[in-house]
Amino acid sequence: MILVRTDRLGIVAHEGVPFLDGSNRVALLATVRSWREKTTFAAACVHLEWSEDGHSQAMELRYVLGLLDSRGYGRRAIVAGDFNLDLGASPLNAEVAAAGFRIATAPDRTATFVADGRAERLDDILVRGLDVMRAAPVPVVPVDPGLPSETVPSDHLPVSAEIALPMGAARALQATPAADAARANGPTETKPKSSAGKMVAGLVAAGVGALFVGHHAGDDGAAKAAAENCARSFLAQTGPCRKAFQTGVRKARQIAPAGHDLEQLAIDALAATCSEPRENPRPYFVKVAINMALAARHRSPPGETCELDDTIESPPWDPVRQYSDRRCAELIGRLLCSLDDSKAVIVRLRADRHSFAEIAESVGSTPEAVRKTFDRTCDALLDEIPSSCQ
Amino acid sequence: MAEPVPSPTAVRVLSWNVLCPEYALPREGRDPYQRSRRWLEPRDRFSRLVHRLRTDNADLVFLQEVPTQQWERDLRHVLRAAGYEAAIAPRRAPTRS
Repeated sequence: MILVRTDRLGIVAHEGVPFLDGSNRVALLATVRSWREKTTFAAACVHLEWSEDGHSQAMELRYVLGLLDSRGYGRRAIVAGDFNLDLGASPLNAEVAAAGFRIATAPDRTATFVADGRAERLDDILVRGLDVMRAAPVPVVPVDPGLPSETVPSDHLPVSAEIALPMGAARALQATPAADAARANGPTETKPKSSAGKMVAGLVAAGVGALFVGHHAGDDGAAKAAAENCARSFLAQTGPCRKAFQTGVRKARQIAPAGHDLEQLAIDALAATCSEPRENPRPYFVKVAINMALAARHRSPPGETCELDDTIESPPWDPVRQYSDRRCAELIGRLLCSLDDSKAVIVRLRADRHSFAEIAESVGSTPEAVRKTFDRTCDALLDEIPSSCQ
Repeated sequence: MAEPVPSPTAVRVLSWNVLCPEYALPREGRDPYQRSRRWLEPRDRFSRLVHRLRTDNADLVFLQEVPTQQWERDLRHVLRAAGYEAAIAPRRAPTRS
């Protein structure tokens, strides 16, 4: 489980990826957003399977680190949890370092599991692409009586560290000399009038293309250059993908909630598009921008928390109902995911109470065509959904 | 004049294996928690666990051994009220025959 303080961070997306040992365990991976720095990083929560020779731990950690790379989570990452071995004293640490990670916890390797007459270091925090500002020391607990204790209600001690987050591209934009000059001079006649155009001008002026591809393209020179060229093809005024950039931003603006940071959304969508070579990146960018806007719409705005009213009684716990609801939700979720993108966008926007006219404007179609597509899609979905879930 | 841009700031990260409630139950035969059994009474333990998390006040928390059922029943409301949002990945049906 990964928890974030909503006034500081937000969970953009998360997934549970099953381990390959046939068990029911999953690795939890998430993309976390920092509101203050306007940047994102990956977080992975692990509890590795124990084996005496460390083989299981090594296999599973390799698998999780591989997932972060193969599933496009980017370079900046925090992997934390119960590794079920002392990573600092294990040969596995060399592999971890080769993958770009380092241990963020204090180097004294104090035991974190203290129970059953044993004291072992099992828990750690790894970081990649981020700086460790402070590693909190782990207190020494005597083996007898060991844990749990009054202040530590588990057989493990928590481990913690303070990790520095870099400024995101949109935040860095404020600091560049070009942006300062633009602000000082105010708007000029040559500045494009559309807001997407203004955004492009600002991004190009500040050299943000180079800034963010540096974050997302890894260290390989050729890949970095290709990513930068891709970004510039969207950002440059005469770039071949400029129109697609404007379309993506326009559609995202129509979908995203009011006040959403569209500039950062555009950068994130562009980073995702240019992170690897694509035959035609234009439709990919538009699709990613729309999906990010939809995700922003579904997510609570930063800082909003729900104050629970103690006077409202919780409904009685009903495991059968809970199971049934969950099963239906998963089934419907799977069916929605199986729709092609053009239909899925219409269904989601309609579920968000957009009118057919608004949806038509967003997807570049007519209201009548959107209505027909929506009706047919719903009919097809209802055929698939059992009556007990309807 | 341009607004001052903040220098990189830190997030406090915490990871904790909080001990699955099932493992904390008294067992027949040898009890690994014999000397500390009094700290394992479930309701009291969860409230102390939440108290500890609130006191540490980390921005990003990784918890292990929290069953989905326990999260829904005992932790979700109080941690949400404390300003936390969660990403959980329920265990899946085993694929092993």
